[in-house]
Amino acid sequence: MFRKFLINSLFIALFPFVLLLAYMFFLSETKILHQITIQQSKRVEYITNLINNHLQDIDKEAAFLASLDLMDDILVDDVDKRISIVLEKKVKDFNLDISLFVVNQNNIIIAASEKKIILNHFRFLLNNNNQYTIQNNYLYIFHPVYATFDKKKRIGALIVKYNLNNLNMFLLQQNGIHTYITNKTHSLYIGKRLPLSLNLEKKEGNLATNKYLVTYKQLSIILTKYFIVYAVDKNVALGFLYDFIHFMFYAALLLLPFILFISIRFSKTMLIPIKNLTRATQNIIDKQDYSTILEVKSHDEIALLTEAFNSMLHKTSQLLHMLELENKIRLQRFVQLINLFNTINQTTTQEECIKTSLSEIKKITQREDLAFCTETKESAIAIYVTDFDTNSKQYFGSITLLLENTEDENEKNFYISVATMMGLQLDRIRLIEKMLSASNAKSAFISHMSHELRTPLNSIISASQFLITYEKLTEKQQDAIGSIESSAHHLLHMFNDILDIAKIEAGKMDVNFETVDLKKLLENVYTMFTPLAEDKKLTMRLDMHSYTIKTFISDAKILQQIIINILSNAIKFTQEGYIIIKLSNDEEYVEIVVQDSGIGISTEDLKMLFRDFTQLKNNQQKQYKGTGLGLSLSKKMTELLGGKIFLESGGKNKGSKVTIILRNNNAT
Amino acid sequence: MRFFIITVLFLFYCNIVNAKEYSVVSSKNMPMMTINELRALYLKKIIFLKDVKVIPLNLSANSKIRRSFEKNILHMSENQLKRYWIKEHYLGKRPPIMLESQRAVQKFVHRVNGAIGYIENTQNIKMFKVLYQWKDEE
Repeated sequence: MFRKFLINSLFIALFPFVLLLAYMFFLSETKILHQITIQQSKRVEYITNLINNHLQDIDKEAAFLASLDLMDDILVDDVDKRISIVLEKKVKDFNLDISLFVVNQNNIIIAASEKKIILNHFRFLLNNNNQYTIQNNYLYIFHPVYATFDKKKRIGALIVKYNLNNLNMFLLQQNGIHTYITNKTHSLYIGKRLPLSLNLEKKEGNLATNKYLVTYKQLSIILTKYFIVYAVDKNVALGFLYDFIHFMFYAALLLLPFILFISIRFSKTMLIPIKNLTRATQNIIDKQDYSTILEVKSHDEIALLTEAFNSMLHKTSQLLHMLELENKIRLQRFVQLINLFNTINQTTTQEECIKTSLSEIKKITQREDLAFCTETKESAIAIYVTDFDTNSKQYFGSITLLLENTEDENEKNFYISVATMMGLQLDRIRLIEKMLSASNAKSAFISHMSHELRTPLNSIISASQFLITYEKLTEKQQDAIGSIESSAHHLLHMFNDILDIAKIEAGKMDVNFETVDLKKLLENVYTMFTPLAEDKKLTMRLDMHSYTIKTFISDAKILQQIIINILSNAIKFTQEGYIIIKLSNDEEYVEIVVQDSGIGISTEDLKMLFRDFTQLKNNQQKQYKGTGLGLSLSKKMTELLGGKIFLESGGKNKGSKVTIILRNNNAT
Repeated sequence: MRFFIITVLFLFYCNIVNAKEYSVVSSKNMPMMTINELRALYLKKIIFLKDVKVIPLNLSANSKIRRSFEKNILHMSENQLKRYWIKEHYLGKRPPIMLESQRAVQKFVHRVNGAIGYIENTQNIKMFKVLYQWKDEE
């Protein structure tokens, strides 16, 4: 950040400098040269105008003199010197290196500004028209003179002899600036000449040589074949620019350390408060302490930022506090609602449900205008229950309250939800009552029927057993009676099981908890089944090494029946291999495991077991007799003892394992 | 009384002695003219005389001869002539050429055909044709 800031500062400080230098190096020279050329052109035009006007003035003056009446004195050879006097005065007025003289028709000078040339013969021929000629650096301007009394009669001429060096007064000569007059052939020079070979083809133009910038322009009055040449030495013209570039370069070298120092200092000054602010912010984020107030040390924008930040922190802290309070209230409400629903759920009768619900709602809402009524009211919130016979909703009653006082939609929805909840709980209660009633009726019926059936069955068994002992019976008859006796036993056994299940379901199975010697109990059962196992040539083993409890409280009769059922099944469904009975315990539980190498059970069939009258339907099992109540009864009995029973199998023909887990009630 | 008569006679004599003669001269081929024609020529009322373009010459304004010529020949005072030439100037006419000296007049008349001028009789008058003469007593 500091580096970036420093680079930015340096860039801002140095960029205009570098840009200016680059501009001067690459663009300024061209622009300045262009500008100088424009200025030169204007100066040349100005000088040209001055010279043109000057020459024109002299020409006009000569024309004026030639037109004077006085010029008639040419006819009398200026005997009175009137023309000479005027010419002398005029030359004085010009204050230039100039001569004026008048010649007669015989080219004899009869009047002049210089007395010594009077009566000399003038060499040049004259024409009728105005003429100009240059001889020996002198410009001669001719004006014919006509008699005032006869404008067609030429009586002589006025001649101006003008030293061209007079024009030097218009030519600028300064350090590096040269002005001179020359012609195309460079045969004549007025002013200090320069060794330049210029091609003066156009009327005006600009040229640039290695050393000079040259501007030229043709004169338009009298000296029409001559040009003003204005040349400026480039070193002089661009001297200021070169000096300035040198100055900027050295200034940059001198100022660079200063700018660097200022930039570093400025960057640090700017960044330290921001760093402090960032650190404080991170600290607040880490510690979640929004009550922190940052110290304001300066009076600049950073201070304003810090103050704004403090203000934001204060607001955030307040909002967080408010949120915490709101959360607490919401949590309280939530707990109250859960309590309300729990309390409603725990009710077992319809009257209790209504009464408890109303009282709990009053606790939460602090409303005393709540009541339950069975009549239909428009402002009341109706409770509907399910008619299980027709599977439709029917009106049960209403919670009455002054709904007009309840404008909040959420509150209304709350009451409707509570009413729905009450309806559901009432459904549950009614369903339980109905189910219990049905179950009791079923159990009573089964118990009754079993009892009624067992009596004649006992008679059948007794009679069969008596008949089987009868010696005169044929073997076929004995087999038939044996079959009757066996079937009657099976039926009796089944009735007993049904009776037990019915008793358990009707809650009429008595459980007598007493001290049980589990080891002894298991040994008895083991002994009981040993002959059966031996008949089938099965290996049966009892492992009780891990059992450490001396006294265990349970119902020995029920427990024995459970183990008999399990073991009986194990022997029944094992054709070869082994049966292992294992008794163990830890601090909390007692575990009895009966494991066999029998036909096993598929994963799908495992789910079907433990149901009433369920015997697995497969060809292999059809050969085994059974009521299908054994495991179901064992499960119900284990649950009656407060335990659980699990059946596991690796799959078909991979044996099975039944685990009975009972709570170790002697653990403490 | 006698002194008075002597004085008057003396002054009269002196006046006769100081009286000067002037002549209007021209080149030899100039035709003769009347005084009225002379006046008309000098006031530029006429320019030609018998097909000869006449160029009258004046002496400078402070010349005594000119004043005498204006008085005796033109019969006009200096102010009258000024007013006359101002009026004529607007009609496009200019007064006669003015030369500085009698010598210049003589040269001019000698060299330019049609030129007429007035000079004192004391000059070399025989070179010219005398068109008119007058006397002026100072």
